[in-house]
Amino acid sequence: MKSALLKDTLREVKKSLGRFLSILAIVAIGVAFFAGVKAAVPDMKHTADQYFDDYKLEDMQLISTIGFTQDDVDAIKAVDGVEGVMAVHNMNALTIVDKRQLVLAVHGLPADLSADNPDYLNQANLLAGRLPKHSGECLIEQGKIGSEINVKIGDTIQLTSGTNVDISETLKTDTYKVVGITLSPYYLSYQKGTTNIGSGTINNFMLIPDADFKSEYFTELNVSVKGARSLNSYDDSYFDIIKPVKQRIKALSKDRIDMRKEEIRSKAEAEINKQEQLYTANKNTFDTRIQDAETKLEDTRIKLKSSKDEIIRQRSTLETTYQQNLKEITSGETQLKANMEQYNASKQALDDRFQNEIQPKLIQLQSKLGQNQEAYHKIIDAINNTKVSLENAKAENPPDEAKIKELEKQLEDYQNTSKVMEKDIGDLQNQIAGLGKTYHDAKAKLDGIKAQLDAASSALRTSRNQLEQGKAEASAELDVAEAQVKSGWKQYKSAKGKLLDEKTLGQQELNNAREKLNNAKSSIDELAAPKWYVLDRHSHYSYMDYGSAADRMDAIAKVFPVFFFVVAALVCLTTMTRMVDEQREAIGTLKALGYSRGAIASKYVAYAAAASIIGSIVGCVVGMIVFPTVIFNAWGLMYSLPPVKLTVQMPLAMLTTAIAVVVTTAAAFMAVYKELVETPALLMRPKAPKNGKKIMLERVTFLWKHFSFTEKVTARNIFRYKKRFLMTVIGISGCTALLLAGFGIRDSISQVVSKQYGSIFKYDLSITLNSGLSLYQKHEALIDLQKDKRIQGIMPIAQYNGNIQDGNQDAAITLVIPSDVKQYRTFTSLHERTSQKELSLSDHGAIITEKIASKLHVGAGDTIQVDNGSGSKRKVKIIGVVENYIDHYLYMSPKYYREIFKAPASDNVLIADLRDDRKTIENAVGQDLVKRDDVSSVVFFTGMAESFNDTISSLNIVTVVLVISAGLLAFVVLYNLTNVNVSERLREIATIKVLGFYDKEVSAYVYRENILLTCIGAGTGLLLGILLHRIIMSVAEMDTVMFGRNIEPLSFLYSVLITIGFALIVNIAMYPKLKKIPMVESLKSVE
Amino acid sequence: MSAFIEFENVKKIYQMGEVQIEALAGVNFKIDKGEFVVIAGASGAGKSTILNILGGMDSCTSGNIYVDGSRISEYNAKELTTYRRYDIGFVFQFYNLVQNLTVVENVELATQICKNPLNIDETIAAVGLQDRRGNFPAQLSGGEQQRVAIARALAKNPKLLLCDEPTGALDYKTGKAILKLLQDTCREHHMTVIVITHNLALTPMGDKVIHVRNGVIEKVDINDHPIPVESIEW
Repeated sequence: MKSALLKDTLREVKKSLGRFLSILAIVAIGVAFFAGVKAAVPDMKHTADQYFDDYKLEDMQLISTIGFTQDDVDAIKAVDGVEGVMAVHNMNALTIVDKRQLVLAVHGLPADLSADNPDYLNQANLLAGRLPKHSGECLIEQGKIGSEINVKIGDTIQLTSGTNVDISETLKTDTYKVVGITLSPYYLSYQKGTTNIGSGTINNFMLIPDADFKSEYFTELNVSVKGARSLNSYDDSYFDIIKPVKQRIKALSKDRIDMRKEEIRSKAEAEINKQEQLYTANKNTFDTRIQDAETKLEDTRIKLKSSKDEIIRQRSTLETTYQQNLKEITSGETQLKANMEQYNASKQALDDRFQNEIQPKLIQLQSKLGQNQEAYHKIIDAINNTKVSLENAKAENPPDEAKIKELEKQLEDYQNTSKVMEKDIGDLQNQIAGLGKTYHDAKAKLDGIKAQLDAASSALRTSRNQLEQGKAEASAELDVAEAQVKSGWKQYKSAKGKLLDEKTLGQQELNNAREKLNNAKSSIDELAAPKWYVLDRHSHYSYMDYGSAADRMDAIAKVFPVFFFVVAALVCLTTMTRMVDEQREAIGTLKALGYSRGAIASKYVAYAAAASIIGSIVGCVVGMIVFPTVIFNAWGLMYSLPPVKLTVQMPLAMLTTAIAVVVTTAAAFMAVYKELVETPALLMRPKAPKNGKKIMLERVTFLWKHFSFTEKVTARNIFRYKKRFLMTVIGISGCTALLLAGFGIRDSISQVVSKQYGSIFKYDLSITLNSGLSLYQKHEALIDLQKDKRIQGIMPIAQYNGNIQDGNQDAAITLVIPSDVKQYRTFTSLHERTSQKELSLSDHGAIITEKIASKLHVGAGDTIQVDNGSGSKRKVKIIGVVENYIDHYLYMSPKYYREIFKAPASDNVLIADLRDDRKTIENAVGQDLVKRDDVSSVVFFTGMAESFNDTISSLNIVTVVLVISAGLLAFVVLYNLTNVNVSERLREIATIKVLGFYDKEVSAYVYRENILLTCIGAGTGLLLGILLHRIIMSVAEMDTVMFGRNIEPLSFLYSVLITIGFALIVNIAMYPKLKKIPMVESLKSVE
Repeated sequence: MSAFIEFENVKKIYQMGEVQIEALAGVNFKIDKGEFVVIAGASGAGKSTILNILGGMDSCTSGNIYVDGSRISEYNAKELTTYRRYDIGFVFQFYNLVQNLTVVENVELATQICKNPLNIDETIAAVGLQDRRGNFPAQLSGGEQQRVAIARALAKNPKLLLCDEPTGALDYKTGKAILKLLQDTCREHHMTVIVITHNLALTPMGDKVIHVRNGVIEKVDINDHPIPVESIEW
């Protein structure tokens, strides 16, 4: 390039710094995104590999169904290519920390713990404390979100086996003192796998001296391969080294297995015999116990029966006696009544006689007596008178004797008469007295009789009362006795019911055991066939899990930056086109001066190249530091890893820069080339403005008619500049899409918990019963818990940690067999996600959850292999796929399970719904439950929901990254659009200003287009966002979690509002520029 | 009665860095209502500055300007916009039509913002473009485009029609037709029309001719008998 041209280019940059910077910025953003996200994946893998190497993660792990002997170990050590072999034991055990039961993976550490011991693999990454030296010392994993374990150095951990076998048979001690806190390259993931004890999920790991394990057989051999450490284990070349060694070990395994086959078989047989004996013993004990209980019950029944009879007998005796006595009393009463009547009649007769006979007679006699007495008194008077007259006559001198005589005689007469009369009176008086006496005598006699009768009556009344009272008392006594008998019956009945339950359940259990034994017997050959599993890192959970996380990131890296590149190219093209347009005259002049096309074009190409190179360098540097760090840390929350080790990825940087430079310079060249083909003369003349023309919309007259004038202008302008239209719509839609995806991620993740533990699992807690419980004890526990007022509903289910297989893919799955399919509907909603259709659990197949179904590419009608956790693999037909977000489940009806696995499902978990699920009540219920002997663990879903939310909150960082990128994108695009729009239409704007448009109207005239384009972009962006969200969700998902697929309406609103907000900010920022456009521009000639 | 338009010692000084350029060095003139005024002068004489200031596109440094009794030299930016909006019609040398709008729409662009616009169809008919109503500027000849510009200015029903070299980009014949249109408009609608030109040959057509030179008014000629544009040759 000529120096004058160079100077010109430099001046150009200086003059149009905004334009230069906008190209630079968009390139920088695009490059940063592309290179950054792309670089994150190798950085992630590199960091992990470095960690694996530093702590000597095993290259291969050998597991055998029969364990390994020291001879096996020596044989493997001798295999060509093997560097070291760590032969250790492992087991899963339970412990209780802070009242919570945890499942620990317990691994043995070799005796020689020096870092350079070739046989010390999977080395502990000690964070604090020291390595265990003695028996009873351990290292415990550092708590990680979601699996917090609040154990400090110096604490002790008490282990239990969680199975029927006591832990003392496996370990020398069950009490461990924590001497150090560690991490291990063996466990990167928060998920450590599943087990068949406790909650079924391994929470943490623990390292103890291997010498503490009692078994002579090693459970795992960890093998390192020579030369493998120098390679990145996520590269194929690593496996090229591993493969031959693996083959050699596999070949070796056949010989080793044959040597031990017979030993194993006899061992298995002995075990079965032992089980058989145990079964018989159990059966006998059970039978005796049931028989005893039955006899006792029968005795009770007989006793109760005789008591009842006795009461009946006594009752009838009582009644008879009573009736007899009553009869006597009644007859007495009748007699008395007759006598009374007789008495009354006599009395009446007497009274009548007195009235009719005695009384008149008495009156008559009395009156006669009165007359007689009167007469007598007269006579007496006459006597007295006569006496007087006689005296007088005697006293007369001469006494007149005649007269005297007469008088005397008269007197004598009188006296005789009086005597007669006296006698008469006396008679009469006697008569009267006699009459009275007769009456009184009769009356007295009657009164005597009456008194006798009254006495008899009262005597009778007393006896009657006594009789009634006696009866009532006796009856009451009998009632009491009867009530006693009744309650006795009740007790008898409940005892009988209980016994029946115990008998049937016990019988069932025995049958189950029998069935199991028979199965074991028939499959002894299968069981006895030992097998070695030689597993390379493809089977190492953490390695694969982490690797797939990185690959998921890579998938995102493929989708995302395309946006930015397209937008960058468009921004560059429009900007350069505008620049070239503005400089037509200069180009024409240069051409006229004789500069070659190439030389002239080089100015613009150089301009674009300079912007893109600087932008690329900035983008590479910033992007390759920021993005890998952010992404690594986001994933890092789920993995235990040392800090990220950034690598310089020159090829990536070069490639990205090359793409960016090629895209931008090509855009620049295209812009300038169009002009260069024209003659200088034409170039020096103003370019004819782009012609107005009718747009498609105008053909739709009825719609066009309704447009206001300014709307028409806007519509025409939008369609006039298609490049700008495209750039803006793509850019803005990208912005909205990123925002929507960002918010959508949050929605989907937060929905996971509310949906899983709200609308799918409708119960609040799951209680794992002790594995040693008999059916009857389980039944008792259920009955007992049903009585708890705080529990609204409870039901037993069988839950097994199994495995599911289809083709060569397999995955851990939880088998759920509800005891009552109908009742289970109130606890768990089994429905399809899209149709929300409720599925019923029939006896013809199993229902599987969505995530695992899609992972294995199976659906209704397909058949899969299911392992129920006890080693038996069976073909299971799928009849439905249901919505589910966390973990994988396979639901079967009890009947179907029995049909498939040839054994009934044994309920081991109680699921319960609380009446009130406040935290305090949950805690109280939890504490009560944990105290029970029959409960081994209690899981509340609120707790699970919390820990799950913590785990995935790391993805919020992704949201932040997306929002920031969206903002940058929107700014660059809109700034560019407005800038080009304004400078290209300077004259037009000046003209309308002259026409008298107010500033606001002027900006509205320009911005209406921006706003409309923003709206179109935002609308498109929503569709794009849904798509993007879906892609991100499916790639970012963890294995056991399905994120929601829907986005809240509010997120749509936010995304659009924020996009419009960005647009507004740009528009406001551009407002002063618009205001400053001088009107005199309108007077100038066309450029 | 005072004049319709009056410039009183109007000065305009541009500050170009450290150099002051006096574009107008005290301009005084009066224009009556309904007059057809030609402002003539060589390039750089200051005639465009006068037009800019009179049109409310620029403000003067000192002096007073009265239009229809209002002192527009005192107006702020917003008042100036309102003044342009309701009182002024502009006809530009390069038409300044919005390329993306049809003839009718370009006129509408002006009428939609003013208080009592003229009937659009009639205005377009008046400039003789009734047959090209739906065309875009690119489909019109230069003269036709300028007619659209005039229609746009007229439709606003302004008090004052300002024309900046209206024939500058047109050929002789078309230019003549445009000038005739302007002259007729002035006569028929009794509108004050001010035409700026560097072409002295046009001066006879004005009622008043203001000669500008070096930022001052050289002289003001008043033609009692202005000549119809048809009879002017240049």
